[in-house]
Amino acid sequence: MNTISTLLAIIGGFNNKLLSFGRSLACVAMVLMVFCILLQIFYRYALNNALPWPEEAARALMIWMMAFVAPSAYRYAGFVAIEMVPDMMPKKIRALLMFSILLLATLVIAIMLSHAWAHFSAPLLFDSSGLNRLLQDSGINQLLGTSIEFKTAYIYLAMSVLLVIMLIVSAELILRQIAQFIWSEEEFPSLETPAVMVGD
Amino acid sequence: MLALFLPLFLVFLMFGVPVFFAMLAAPGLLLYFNGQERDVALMYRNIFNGIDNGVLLAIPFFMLAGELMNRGGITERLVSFCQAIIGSVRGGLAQVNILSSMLFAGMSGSAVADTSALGSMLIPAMEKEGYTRKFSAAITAASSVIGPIIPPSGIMIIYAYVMEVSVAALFAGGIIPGILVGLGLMIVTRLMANKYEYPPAKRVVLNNVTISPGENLAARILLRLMLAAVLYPLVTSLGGFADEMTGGQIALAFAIALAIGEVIIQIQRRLMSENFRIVSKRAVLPLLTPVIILGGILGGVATPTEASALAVAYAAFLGLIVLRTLKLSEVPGVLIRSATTSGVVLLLVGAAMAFKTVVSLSHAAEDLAVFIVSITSDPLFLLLLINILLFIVGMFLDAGPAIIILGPILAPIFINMGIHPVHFAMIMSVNLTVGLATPPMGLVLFVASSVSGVKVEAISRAILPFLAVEVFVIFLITYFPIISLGIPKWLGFVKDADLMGPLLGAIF
Repeated sequence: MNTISTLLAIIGGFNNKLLSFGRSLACVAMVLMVFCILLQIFYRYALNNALPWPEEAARALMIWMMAFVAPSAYRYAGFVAIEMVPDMMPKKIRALLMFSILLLATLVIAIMLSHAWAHFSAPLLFDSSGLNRLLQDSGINQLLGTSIEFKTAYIYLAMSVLLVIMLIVSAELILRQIAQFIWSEEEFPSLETPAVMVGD
Repeated sequence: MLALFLPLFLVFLMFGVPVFFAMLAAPGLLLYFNGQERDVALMYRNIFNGIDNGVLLAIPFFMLAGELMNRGGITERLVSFCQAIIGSVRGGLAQVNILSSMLFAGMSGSAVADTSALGSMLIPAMEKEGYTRKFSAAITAASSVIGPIIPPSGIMIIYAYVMEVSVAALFAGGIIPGILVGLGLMIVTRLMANKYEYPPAKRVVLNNVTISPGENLAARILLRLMLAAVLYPLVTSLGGFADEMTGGQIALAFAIALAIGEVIIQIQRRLMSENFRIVSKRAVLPLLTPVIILGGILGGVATPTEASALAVAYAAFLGLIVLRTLKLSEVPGVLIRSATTSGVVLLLVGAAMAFKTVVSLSHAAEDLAVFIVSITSDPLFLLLLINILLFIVGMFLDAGPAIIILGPILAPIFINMGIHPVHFAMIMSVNLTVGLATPPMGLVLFVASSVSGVKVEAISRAILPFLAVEVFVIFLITYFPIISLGIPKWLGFVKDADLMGPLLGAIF
């Protein structure tokens, strides 16, 4: 029991920090997304000059935002499920069912990760034209003396990051479920959602 | 064998597998065992491509705008405005609750947000007035389902995207159904007021309300501009202006609209009390949000994504700078909540696109269509059956996931039978949205319970008369397509719609 407690404390502490950092990054991404679209509106309607990159940038930010926050939702049971049948079951059987569900979820995540990684590392890492225009037009490359190019793969990478974090969360949830099954829910209570995610 | 993914999916769902994983695991496992591993790769690509679309930006933006708007100060302003308008009839606060939900619906696209924002304010106020707590919670939950029906609406954006229908058409289609649900609830409340002796009518315009000079000026200008915008089409059509107007003619028509608006405002100044006018002026700035959103999208000026970003900017500007109802320290929480909720929805949309691929690969929709048509080919009866199915699904599942799962399966069947895609979208959206307030698993019932402290079972019983009205409205929407297609057709979003539908068609 001590070993599993220590293991859970380590992985739980790591996940707390990692997910909290992810949520902060998601906030930044959300603000930038709004900013991109407002800029697009301003250029299109006020200056009559449709910029090629804001929508693409906002979309990339949206996918990264999702990658940063979805693991938090997964960890704190934010994924929609119908729990009427499990709730009617005796505690031990419910724990066993939840364990099987977690295994199934982990399998799905792992298979998705293999495809996501293949998608990211595929040979055709073509440039994202709109975002490259941003790098050229803004003069960032000239200023830094670099020749940075934006690859679409940078957006694909978000899915791999999302799925790796979800796998780590899965490991913690599975461990907790095993502990709850062997010992009890009182000794290994389910995770409480952070106040900032619940709101008023 | 692949067609078995639907029953397997249902088994997964019933045993508590989260919708996202069930949507991928059921078809994925069967594809794998069927030796179609390449299609598993295709499923993954469809998840990613499904999420990677600019239209979906509107989901996080509308959620964020709703969260920003749901701060106390804005809720209070809207509620006092509704009190001033309708609070003096019998059962006034219950009516105020419904009207506030209708106005809120124009700002946020979420029933949960409406229940928590309005419930935390109105349920204690109603109890103080003599209403029972369970009745107050029930009317809050019942009226909050108007949120996703009147645009903007999160589930309509999802449906429009997954099923490739115009968001603007769905938004336009939701206006009349939403108003009908609201009016239906108001009528029942009025009838129940006599039977259950609700608190008597009394004057409820707040006294001693103040408004800052800056807001007063802004409200005056905006009110005149909005009134002129409403009157402008009337002026151009009645004033004998040519179809192709020059810049000067447009300016002249707008000036005339402004002048007529001014006359109307001066008349109401003489009829209304000072307090009433101040309460109304305080509601002008918040009420500009639906004008920006709907005016932008339905007027064809902005895309839904642009309109939603503008709504975020306006809500933040209003909350942080003008009304100061939002503290900077609250902003990270607001951002995190809307990001998390929309992150989960985005993953679900991705899974839905993969699911949709498997639906077409497996020919499940065609098989189901053959089965359904073998029961009956009468569209009227089929629509009845489908409403019952949707209602049952709505009892157990949230509207968003339900629409994502059932849309790709059911919509093609009914569209083939001649039901207009926008009409069917509206039937699904309204039915599944009402499902948010139906026991045993209605999400807003749980929110209303946590806000009011009343048990879900008690609210579930008290909500029944209101649910009956909502079911009646669902049937009106189903059998009278003009309700959901009238405005979209008038605005030119749908061209070839049969407004009569099979029922009226059979009668006439």
